[in-house]
Amino acid sequence: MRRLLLGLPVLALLAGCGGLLFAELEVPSVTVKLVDQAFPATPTGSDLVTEVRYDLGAQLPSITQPNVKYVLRLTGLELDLTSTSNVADFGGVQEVRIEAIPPAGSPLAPVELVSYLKPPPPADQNPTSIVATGQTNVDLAPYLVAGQLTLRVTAKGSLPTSPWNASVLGSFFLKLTLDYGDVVKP
Amino acid sequence: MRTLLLLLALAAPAAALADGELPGAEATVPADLPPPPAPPPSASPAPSAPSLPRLGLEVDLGVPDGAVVALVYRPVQVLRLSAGPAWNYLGFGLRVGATVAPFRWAVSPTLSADYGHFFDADARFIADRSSGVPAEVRPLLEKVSYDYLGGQLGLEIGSPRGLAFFLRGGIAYVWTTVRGTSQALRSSSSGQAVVSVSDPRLRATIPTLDLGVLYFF
Repeated sequence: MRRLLLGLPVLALLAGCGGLLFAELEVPSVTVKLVDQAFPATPTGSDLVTEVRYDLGAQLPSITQPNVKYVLRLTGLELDLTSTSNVADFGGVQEVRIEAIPPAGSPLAPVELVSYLKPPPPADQNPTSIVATGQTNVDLAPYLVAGQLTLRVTAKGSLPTSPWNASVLGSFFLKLTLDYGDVVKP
Repeated sequence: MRTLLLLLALAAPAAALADGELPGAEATVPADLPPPPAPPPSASPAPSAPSLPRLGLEVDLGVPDGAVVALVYRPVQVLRLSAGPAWNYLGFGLRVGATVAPFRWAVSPTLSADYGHFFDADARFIADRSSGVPAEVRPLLEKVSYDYLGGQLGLEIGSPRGLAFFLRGGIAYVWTTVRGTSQALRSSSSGQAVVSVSDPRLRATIPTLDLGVLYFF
């Protein structure tokens, strides 16, 4: 009985901790705002299909550290026009889809992360920003190569026929786990 | 059945005799009878260990506890409960704990479990000094609090009824939620980016160490 009493706290600690020594940082809201991202002109009547590369490793250096495991999820994406955007509004944009593109040679398939459909009136028909939301349970970690995430943006509607700029605001959920056990292993 | 009745008949007077009563007998003792002899002294019980003092005071210093002054109560001989205020340089907190000390030796092993909470404290000065903490983290240090739950094995040197010194080591599960938003401007191949981090939650297991002294009144 005494042995059992002595052992219970140790067992509880072991059971609760998984790996015995670890540190976990969970950030429910990480936003990365890319200022004045360039988008190409779209010929009249065509869809815009372009790839945007997010250098998340440079913006969130922790995810490229050795012995760090992470879960990264895109929870939302927003396009904002600015005074230098060369576009007055997004009134002609009917639909936007954003997919994560897997690394070359990966068995993963592209996965749609967020999307936008132009809302009917009384919503603003000439918005200066587009907020795309969608799946928040897709772990982007397998889609990153050296900290870089490639997103494919597909837009439909009457799109700008000359190059334009917009700020891109990505919202992420991030969980970093450092296992001390891995650190001390030879 | 007959045997049972016989047994009952025999047992009834015996029970009455044991109670000091017989049917029809007076309860008084005749005056000419000598007083009953005193019962022979029974074998003396083995001398039990003297009980240990119940109340004491503990002062210790360690990680992640900080400096703690705790009142100690011993509800049973092998178990001690403690509670008291703590201070970790950043601010104040509370700690409660339980220690099992199964032996009464001059050097005895112990097993302890503690829970502690440190209240919100302003730790922004850490980022202001050249401590290596990035300046962009400063807003997250305005209100720093944490909780921990620890288990420790220890050694006590001294008397369980007086003064004893102890050293305890183990592991603690620490958790905190930081309120605030940190912003940083970063450059990359994607261009300039503003990275904001809000309300991060940190949990970790860390090694613990406590050094202290116990005194029982």
